Amino acid sequence: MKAGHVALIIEDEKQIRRLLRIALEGADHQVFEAETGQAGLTEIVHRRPDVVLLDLGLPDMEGIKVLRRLREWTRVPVLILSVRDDPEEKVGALDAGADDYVTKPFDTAELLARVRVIQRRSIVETGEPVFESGSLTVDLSARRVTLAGTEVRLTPTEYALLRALVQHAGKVVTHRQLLRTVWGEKAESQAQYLRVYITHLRKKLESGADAPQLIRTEVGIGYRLSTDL
Amino acid sequence: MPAAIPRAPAFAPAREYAFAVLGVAAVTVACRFLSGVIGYTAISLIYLVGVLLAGMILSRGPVLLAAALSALCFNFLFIPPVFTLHIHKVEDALMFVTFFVAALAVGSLTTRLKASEQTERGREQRATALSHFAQKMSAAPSVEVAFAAATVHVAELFPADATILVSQNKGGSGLVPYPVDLAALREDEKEVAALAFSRGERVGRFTSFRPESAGTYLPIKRLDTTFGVLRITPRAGTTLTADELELLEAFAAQLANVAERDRLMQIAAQAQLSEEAERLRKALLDCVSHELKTPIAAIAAASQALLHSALDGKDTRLSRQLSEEIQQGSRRLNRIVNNLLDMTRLESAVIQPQREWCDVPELLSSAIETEKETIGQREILRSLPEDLPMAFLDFSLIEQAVAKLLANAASYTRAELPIEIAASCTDEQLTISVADRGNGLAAGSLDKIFEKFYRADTTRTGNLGLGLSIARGFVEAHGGTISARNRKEGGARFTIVVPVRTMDRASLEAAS
Repeated sequence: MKAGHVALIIEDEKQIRRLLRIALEGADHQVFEAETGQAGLTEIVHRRPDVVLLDLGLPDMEGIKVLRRLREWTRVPVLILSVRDDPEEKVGALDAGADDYVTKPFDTAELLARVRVIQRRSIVETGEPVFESGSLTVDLSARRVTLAGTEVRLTPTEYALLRALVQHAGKVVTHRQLLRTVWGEKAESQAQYLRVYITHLRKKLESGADAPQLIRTEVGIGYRLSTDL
Repeated sequence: MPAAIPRAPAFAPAREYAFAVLGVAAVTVACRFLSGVIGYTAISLIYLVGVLLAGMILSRGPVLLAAALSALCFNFLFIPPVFTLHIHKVEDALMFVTFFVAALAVGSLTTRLKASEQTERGREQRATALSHFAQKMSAAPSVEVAFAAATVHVAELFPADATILVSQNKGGSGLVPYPVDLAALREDEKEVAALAFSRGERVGRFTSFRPESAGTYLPIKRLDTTFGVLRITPRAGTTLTADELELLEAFAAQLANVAERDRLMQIAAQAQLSEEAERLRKALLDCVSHELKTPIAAIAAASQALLHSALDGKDTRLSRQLSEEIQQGSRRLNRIVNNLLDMTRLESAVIQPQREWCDVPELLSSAIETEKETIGQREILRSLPEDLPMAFLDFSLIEQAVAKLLANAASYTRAELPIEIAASCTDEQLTISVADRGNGLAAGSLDKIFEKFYRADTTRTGNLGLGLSIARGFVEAHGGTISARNRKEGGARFTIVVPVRTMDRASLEAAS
């Protein structure tokens, strides 16, 4: 990561802001802070941050509202900081355009990994056709999937699902996003398709299907393809 | 079914009068034949015997009629001059008068005897009826059952219908029929019932107060407390005797006893409940203060020491240890707070299962992942059938319940012992079990382990004793059950059973 990335923290708790600042400055970010949603929106305009860390519980306006407002004009990556372990709230934020989330109390290393992933340009944007994670290689241009050098045969649906995950590698992808991408808009509520094909993919790609490491389940939200195996 | 109480007829039916007339006629015919053989003095005795017999079987009116007819016939047919009512001899006149007075006396005496016998029998029957009623009332498991039985009992025993009106509030203004589905009371009925309630005495029909009412209203009262009103409506064309009303009043007293008993039981249950609440509150306070303060103390002490070592700028090994202490303490705090939040969520009943099609092996993996820190290096042995269908359930709720069971197994058994996890599914229910190879559950703790703040081992700290009760809460919110038992081979097994719809994988693949 090149030095001098600008991060904006929109969070009302001073202590959390301080800790986030220490962590982000340690990862070569220039850090700005905002205590309220309104101040945060102003800061985004002025500072042109490369990443925004947004708390959902702000004193002046709800975080989700801040998110909707900023999405009206910018694609800046947004990481949600959520204190509640409530999947619906997170899905709501992801649907409103957030890139990923962490739940408080969070692991600093995990937080920095998320910040890194959402700032990275996706495989579609870079034009780089090959994705690698651990022993898995997916070549999107050749539609070829190999595991430790051996080709893995996938059905068209399995491949479409894997491709959707690869395109957002490292980030959480909601059930609805996956269903829409793979089965089309009409299948949005058919989570059972997803369950079946995720199981298939795991059987074909994971070394221990009992404890999936590659395709992670985010309970109540979706799936996340690990990039750091 | 109680036999209806026999009621003394108000007047003798015409049948008895006819019988009296026929009897006298028969005696007269017999005497006409005998008159050639015996003298008319003896015939008077035969007539007297006839009246005596009538007195034994007939009531007063017909007996008096028989006596009068006998006297007249005797006079007319046998006292000379016959076929006239004239009496010439003084002895004959005396005999006629004696005969008449004797017949009357016999008639009225026997009927009085009979009446008192009947009263006695009635009293006995009422006593029996009351004791039956009392038995029924004391056997009733609840006031609802007792009241329902009482109305049926009264309707069988008396020519009347009974309704019990219970007061909704202390003032007695809100008297409603019980059971409520009965036809609503008319306004005037309500008014009379409320009067019976407030005055605490019998009003309405057959009383001096509002006798024009359709029914009699008896207060269901014990000492100073009135619980409701017993309304008695005689069926068309019947009345109630004073004895019957008295018996009904005794019934009302029995009903009051039932209501009182119910009230006392409620008070006792309430007291028990508040005692239980108090115990829980204390347990919560003790537990929370200890369990929250311990990690806070650890974090405070470790961070302070860390601050000092940072000032010295030395000893990175110590800094590392102290940081780990802080991390451990905060994890412990986080777990406790999460459990408390889950418990609160459960108790405020805001949990509604969000069912969706789930893959059970995925659910189990996810639960293992959730508790990976507690599980540590322990081996997890999974036994799942290959053809486990998709199940329609709330992934998150059941996953968390399984995670709590895993955490429980991991924290109560030694690190080298494996944890076994199994699942099976029928068309209607999913069974998930988590078993360990530890020491098992102590006898007598099986029914307590799912209680809040219960800890099987009180010397072991680090949790609030909420995990299993949260697991139970989640499973029950899902309409399922959770149970625990010791395994024959040692260790404990916890089993979750939830009703689910299932879908065969093959048909799903075809559909997608």
